[in-house]
Amino acid sequence: MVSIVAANFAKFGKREEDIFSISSESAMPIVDKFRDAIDFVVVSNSYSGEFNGISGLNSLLTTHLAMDDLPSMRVDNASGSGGSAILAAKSLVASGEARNVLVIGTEKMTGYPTKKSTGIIASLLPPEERSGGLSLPSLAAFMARAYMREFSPTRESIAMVAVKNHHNGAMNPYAHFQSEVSLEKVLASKVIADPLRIFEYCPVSDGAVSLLVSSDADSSSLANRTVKIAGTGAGSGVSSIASRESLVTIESVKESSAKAFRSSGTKPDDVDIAELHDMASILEIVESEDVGFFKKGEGWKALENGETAIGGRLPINTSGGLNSKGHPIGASGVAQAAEIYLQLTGQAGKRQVKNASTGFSLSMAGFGNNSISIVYGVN
Amino acid sequence: MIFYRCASCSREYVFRRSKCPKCGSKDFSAVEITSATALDSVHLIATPEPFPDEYDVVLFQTESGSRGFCRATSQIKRGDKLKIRTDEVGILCEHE
Ligand SMILES: [Zn+2]
Repeated sequence: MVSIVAANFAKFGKREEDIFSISSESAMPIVDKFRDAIDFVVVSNSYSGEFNGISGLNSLLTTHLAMDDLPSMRVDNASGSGGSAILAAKSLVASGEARNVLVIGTEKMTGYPTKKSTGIIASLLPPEERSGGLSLPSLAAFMARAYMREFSPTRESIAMVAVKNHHNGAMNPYAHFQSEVSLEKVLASKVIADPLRIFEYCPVSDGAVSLLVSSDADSSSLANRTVKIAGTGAGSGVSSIASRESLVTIESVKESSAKAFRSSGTKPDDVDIAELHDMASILEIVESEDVGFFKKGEGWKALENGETAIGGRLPINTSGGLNSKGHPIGASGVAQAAEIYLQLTGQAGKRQVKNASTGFSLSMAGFGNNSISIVYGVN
Repeated sequence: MIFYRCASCSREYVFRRSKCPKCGSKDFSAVEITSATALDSVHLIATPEPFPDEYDVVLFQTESGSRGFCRATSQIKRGDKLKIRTDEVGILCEHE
């Protein structure tokens, strides 16, 4: 078994510092404490070339952190980079290639006009679809429209994802947004891609988060409170959105989640807290169904009933999610694991969920082009 | 705009592949798409480079059942018949 032994955030948001400083802010407390144990560094990052004009970020970063002697690699799987990086770290440890892997999820994206950053992110779409003027936010709007036609949710229930996640984010000192938002304000805010509004989309953020992923032989001697990676699953679907059978389900999420539950010997009902990939409000609802938490077409009811709020049956995105915590792309999947670590070790402060022992995270690349699901347990 | 039709099983793909995922054939012919029906459209305010500042993105279906996306020059509704063409930045559609 492989465990998460430590986690540390640099605040998400618009940051003045460069990608090295932000990454270092998240990694240095772990490096200072565990330098002698760390024997590999995995950097989760997708856009250092496009946004920062940097290639080979992993080696530049290990040099910056005075760990030039350690082997490293950069994992890029678009917005699913974080899940893939944890999968890589777990595999390095499980195979015996490494014993203690420092995972650094990092992205520096702000400082460009929205049109430019939207265009850069849209480059993950098939060129033939991108040339139709498509963007990731517009895909979420197509999904919302199809979901509303098929399952007749209340419009309010979809917007409630933003209300809930801003509420949670306001209790997370590392979140981009630190304030609550009312349902009325969400529904009166600027339309970005009809029908979805600005509060229903994640912001463009900078941020970094680091984890130490260790073997069983090491973890108990390194820390008292650790979280085990109980199971992982990766799934993939067609990158072409127009070619998909349905716009209200994401096949890669179903596949990765079924695999993660199978490999951990758990089922969706066992999960106490979950972090999902809420790039847009509707995605949290659709994913909550595809993971298996709710029946298809009924995820919106859970929002209305408060089941996914802190204090509900299955709190989702206690961190604030991408929606409020922010979405520094390479950092997001690592941040999900860090939130589960904080929750399962009782270090989540005001947003702490009581008696949680099984966690779940879904890291998703693009619009579900592929997905990585992880089940966590307490040691 | 071009769709790629598998020479063996006739399935059409909006994006180019080296091999047909259904039948394994490596032969494709290019099919010019000039008309389609709108399945849905999204009015997009925050648009990506290099496109204009505001437009409808349309999911369309061709007569043979293949689907793709285009940028509309006027407001498009579900069920509208479309003419498809290209301009210097991408795929455009308008009412037939
Ligand atoms: Zn074929």
